[in-house]
Amino acid sequence: MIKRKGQPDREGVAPPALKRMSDTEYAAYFEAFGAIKSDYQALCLIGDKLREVETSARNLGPLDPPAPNTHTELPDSVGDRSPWEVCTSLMRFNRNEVLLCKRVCEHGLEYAVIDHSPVASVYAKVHGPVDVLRTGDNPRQVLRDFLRSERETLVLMTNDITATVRLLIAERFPKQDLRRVANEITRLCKKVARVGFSESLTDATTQAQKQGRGMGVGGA
Amino acid sequence: MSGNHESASAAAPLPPALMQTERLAYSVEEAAELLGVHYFSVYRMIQRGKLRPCRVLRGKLLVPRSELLKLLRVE
Repeated sequence: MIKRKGQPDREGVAPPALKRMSDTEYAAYFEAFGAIKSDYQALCLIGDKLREVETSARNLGPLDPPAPNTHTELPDSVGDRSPWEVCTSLMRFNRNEVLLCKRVCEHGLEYAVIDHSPVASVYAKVHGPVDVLRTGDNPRQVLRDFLRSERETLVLMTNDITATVRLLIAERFPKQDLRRVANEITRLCKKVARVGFSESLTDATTQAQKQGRGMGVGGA
Repeated sequence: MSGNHESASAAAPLPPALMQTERLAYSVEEAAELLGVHYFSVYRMIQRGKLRPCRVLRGKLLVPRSELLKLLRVE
């Protein structure tokens, strides 16, 4: 546990890597970080999950059908098209789950990354629980496009969190120059949100497929 | 997760908080709560252009009430 002046850190958040931090900076840091702690943890969690998806996508291997007990179908939001068959779960949050799905269409198999909302949610009652994020006939390309778009969403979320920090510092510590604190928290948030998705996913997945390992998406 | 889902309808009963007309905008977390989804899904909706946020001081995102109503097909 990192300590300053013999005091343990509060909120379980390590003090920043600032040298000669003043008492005001110290107070501002802990107040600001305390306010965004849950967002910061969510950022860590989402970043970790996306890195897992990237690893899984890179190792996308034998395209076996899913086990019968995991077979689930989701109706298409449009209604007049065939339902989506769940291949695998990519990410699960307390409310939503992101799924890699497939279905048969007139040109063969179609793949999609789907954001599945709770059926009882207000959003799902209007739009249906299935929000199609990406589609295509190549599961690797679909995953790559999804990951690229998730990286942009993560940047959006990071910027929103750091804006909260700057607002809070400006409100609680007016007329004080606490840019070092805001910049340090921004740096930490950007660090955990940094997801270096490989642009050469296709090559890696092709290699993995040859070696017969990784996530199966079924029937391609 | 179940394979049986209700079909989407044109409009759903609004959450009471969204009926408060004096409130003009919501944070992303509040918008997620009103929609009943995870807040990263709301960031996705913003990223994909399904929701248009406004930015207040220092770049903080807020979702206008009118945008939520539009999304829920009330306006």
